[in-house]
Amino acid sequence: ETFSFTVVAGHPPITKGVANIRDFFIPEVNRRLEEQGKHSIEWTEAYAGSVADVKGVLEAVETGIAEFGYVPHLFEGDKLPLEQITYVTPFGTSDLPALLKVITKLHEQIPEMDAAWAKNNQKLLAPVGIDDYQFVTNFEIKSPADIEGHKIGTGGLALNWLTGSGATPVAGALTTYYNSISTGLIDGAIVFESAIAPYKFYEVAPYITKIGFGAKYSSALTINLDVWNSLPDDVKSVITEVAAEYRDKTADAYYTAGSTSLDKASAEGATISSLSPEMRTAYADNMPNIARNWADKLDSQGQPGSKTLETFMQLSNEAGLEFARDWTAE
Amino acid sequence: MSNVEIGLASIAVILVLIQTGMHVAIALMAVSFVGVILVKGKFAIAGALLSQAALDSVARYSFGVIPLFVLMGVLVGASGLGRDLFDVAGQLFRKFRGGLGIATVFANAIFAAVNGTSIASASVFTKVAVPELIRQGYTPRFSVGVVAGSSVLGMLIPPSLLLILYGILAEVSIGDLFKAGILPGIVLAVLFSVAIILMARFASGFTGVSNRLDTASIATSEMLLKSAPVVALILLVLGGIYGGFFTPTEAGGVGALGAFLVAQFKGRLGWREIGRILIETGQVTASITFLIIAAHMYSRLLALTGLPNAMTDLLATWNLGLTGILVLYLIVIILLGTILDSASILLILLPLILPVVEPFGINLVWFGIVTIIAVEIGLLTPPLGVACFVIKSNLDDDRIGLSDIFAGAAPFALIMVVMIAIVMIAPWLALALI
Amino acid sequence: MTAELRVASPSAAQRILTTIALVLAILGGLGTVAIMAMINLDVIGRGAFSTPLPATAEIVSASIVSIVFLQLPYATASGRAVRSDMVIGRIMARSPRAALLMDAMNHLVGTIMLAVLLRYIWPEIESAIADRETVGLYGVFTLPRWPFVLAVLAGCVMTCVVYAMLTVNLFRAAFQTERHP
Ligand code: NA
Ligand code: NA
Repeated sequence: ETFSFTVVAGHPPITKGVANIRDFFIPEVNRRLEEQGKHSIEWTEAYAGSVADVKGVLEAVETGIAEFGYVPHLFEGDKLPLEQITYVTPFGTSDLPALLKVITKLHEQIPEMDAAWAKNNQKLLAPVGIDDYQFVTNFEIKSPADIEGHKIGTGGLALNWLTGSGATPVAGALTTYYNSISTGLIDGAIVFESAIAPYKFYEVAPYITKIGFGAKYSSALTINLDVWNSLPDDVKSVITEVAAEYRDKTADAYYTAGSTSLDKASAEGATISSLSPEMRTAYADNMPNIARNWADKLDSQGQPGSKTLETFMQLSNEAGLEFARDWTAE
Repeated sequence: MSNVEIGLASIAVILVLIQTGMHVAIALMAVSFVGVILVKGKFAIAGALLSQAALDSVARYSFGVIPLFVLMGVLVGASGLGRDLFDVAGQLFRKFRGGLGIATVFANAIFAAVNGTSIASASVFTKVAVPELIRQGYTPRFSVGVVAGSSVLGMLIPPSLLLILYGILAEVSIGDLFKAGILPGIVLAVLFSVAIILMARFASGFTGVSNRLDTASIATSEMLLKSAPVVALILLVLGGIYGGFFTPTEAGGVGALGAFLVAQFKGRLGWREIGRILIETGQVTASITFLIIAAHMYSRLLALTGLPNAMTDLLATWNLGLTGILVLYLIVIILLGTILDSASILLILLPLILPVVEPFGINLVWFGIVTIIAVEIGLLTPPLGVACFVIKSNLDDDRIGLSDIFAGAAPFALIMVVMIAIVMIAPWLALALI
Repeated sequence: MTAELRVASPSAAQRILTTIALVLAILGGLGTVAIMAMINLDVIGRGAFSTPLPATAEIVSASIVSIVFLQLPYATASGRAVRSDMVIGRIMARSPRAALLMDAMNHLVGTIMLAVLLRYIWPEIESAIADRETVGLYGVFTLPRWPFVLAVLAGCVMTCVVYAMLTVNLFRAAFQTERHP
């Protein structure tokens, strides 16, 4: 049997998660199906918002416009609140591959997470994340006090990471930071490491200060649930296997790209420094407990907010992933 | 029918429906709906595509400021600023044959520095320039053509909504793109002016003969006085962007407020007038944005049929060099420009072409400028030419048909093709200021 | 060539519909003023007081669709819909009845497509309200989404009604042209 499937992404294939769908997931699924010799898939690929915008992929997969989608769930806080877990627990690990393994386990222990995807008529095939977030600024940061009074570009839930720091968060995106820094609109930005070299932020903001907000679980490769349920078992198992490899491969790609990016920035003249663990802890402790606030709010809506938070912290501990602050503590 | 054939057929059907006088947005919607039913086999999916595109496709900051850029244009028109700018430009170029045409181009180039969309340029100068051009003896066809042609400067000279969209899709610095648009914008304006002089001399049947003797001469002091408010507005917008006070997107909001204050200062706005301006802004915004939404529905259908992918795959098998690929790419853009709006073309083509051209190590800023000029040709070409539509909807004159506007704009579209060649041969035009 | 010009004496019902469309358009205009104010407050708050208005970009992005749909019925009623009238104009010169019928058919398709859009947008709007969806930045600053989608709904309904009204007018005009050539 030949299936005809569409895969959509709001992000362009420059994004590693999308590039790996095109260059790994699809060809690898095809190869294994061909080995089995029973089924094949004809793919239609529509990336960069040509069928659905970054905020529309979830719905495109839900309604069946596309069978597969690269869903950046960090924009879907309303519909997928529990998936936001890593954004409300900053100062975790930089080890993205390890983090995503914890995320997979978390989904096994909190059935409500998969249920939320199911409510949007899809199944999570592979979690995708991004590497560690750092400060990139046009002034030197020797201690957290140095960012007081500065304007820092950031976006989404990461805006919360500046609460209590004395800096002004300015909403922006990767494509606007360079220009905004060069015109003086902002003095720097919070960005993940692998973006620093491609966007040449060091040209306008030569100080890279590793504070380690942590790697984040931001996106997911999903499949329409009706389609999934209608698939023969051997196709399902091929997709599941390749999706797991896609998860690891993509996580490794971001992780490696992070250090490559820093090396390049350094070679181009950027000054890279790290805040001491004590300073990092002090910064984290100075924040309001955004994780508890988030969990309490979800609890009040009948969602297992606290349970997800506690399980996530516990699973992280078991995996040896450390946090600068215990977000479960009151 | 294969999906790719459905995609091809849909293009033909759209061309026919538009010819029957069906509202373009409705034609695009209808074809998208039926097309998705054919591709996906389900009404519900086709309906979902329509409703999702309606709710999401323009939900971006850069689209959100469209009404503000239009409002700024309408305010500049209503407060007489556009007229003053046009008067001053007319004075500057009164010695030339076709002087008022050149003045239109010049005023548009200046106005482009404070607005981000050709829609606003076309709206304002239809009101300001067309009646005066006709009064001075130019043909209606040339009068609307020169406004249509010079309106493209609005999105080449920064700030520009199209360059912002390109920057987002290609992940290129929007600031660099803005700087890169300046010189090609100026060169294009000069080319337009030269062409107007040549046409006025050698094709006066097309342009008409100007009886410019009755233009009253304006004293230098009055010229300065008349241009002061516009210069202030430009300083506000450009100074704000490059001084680090706001982003190019936010410039729409600040510029609209600035235009409002200038208009108030000139004492032109009563409540009734403000109401009229808001309604006018709404009519232009609604008709054009609804068209853009419908074009997104259609471009989503095209992407679902796999037609664009099939075309790129075909392109890859031909083993063309970089130049061959670029030429074909530009031809495809110009062809798509006849039936799609600018934003949809970028959304469909960029994800396909970028992986093809990136291995050649081309400069993506330069590539962006070439792309934008090609995309903007589509503003002037029938059957779907947004700039011409905007002029038609702003024109209270039934004697000038849409076909006149397209015919009048044709020479300018041709000059833009020449401009593409120039930027391809001389990339430094785009890169010198970065 | 637009339908509304051909209606010599609009009925009371049509005047009411046009007035409703105008009211929606004014609301849309006020929405435009509101986003202008938001952007300027954000810029000034950020520049002068280090306190930007939260989620401005997100709220402005979400507003455009509502503004457009609020303004669409009146723009349609005023004949501002983008179209090409070359062919129909030529037919008009030869046979007004044929041109009017063709235009009526076109507006009928408009009525149908708006009805289709309404049919499929309806459940989305319903669930946006039922699920208490928000506009803005999750976890930072949000507004309820229902006013935004309600505006889209109202605009969609009224545009459909306006298209229906124009269709009826055009068919009627075509009919009368035949009787009194
Ligand atoms: Na401009
Ligand atoms: Na065109």
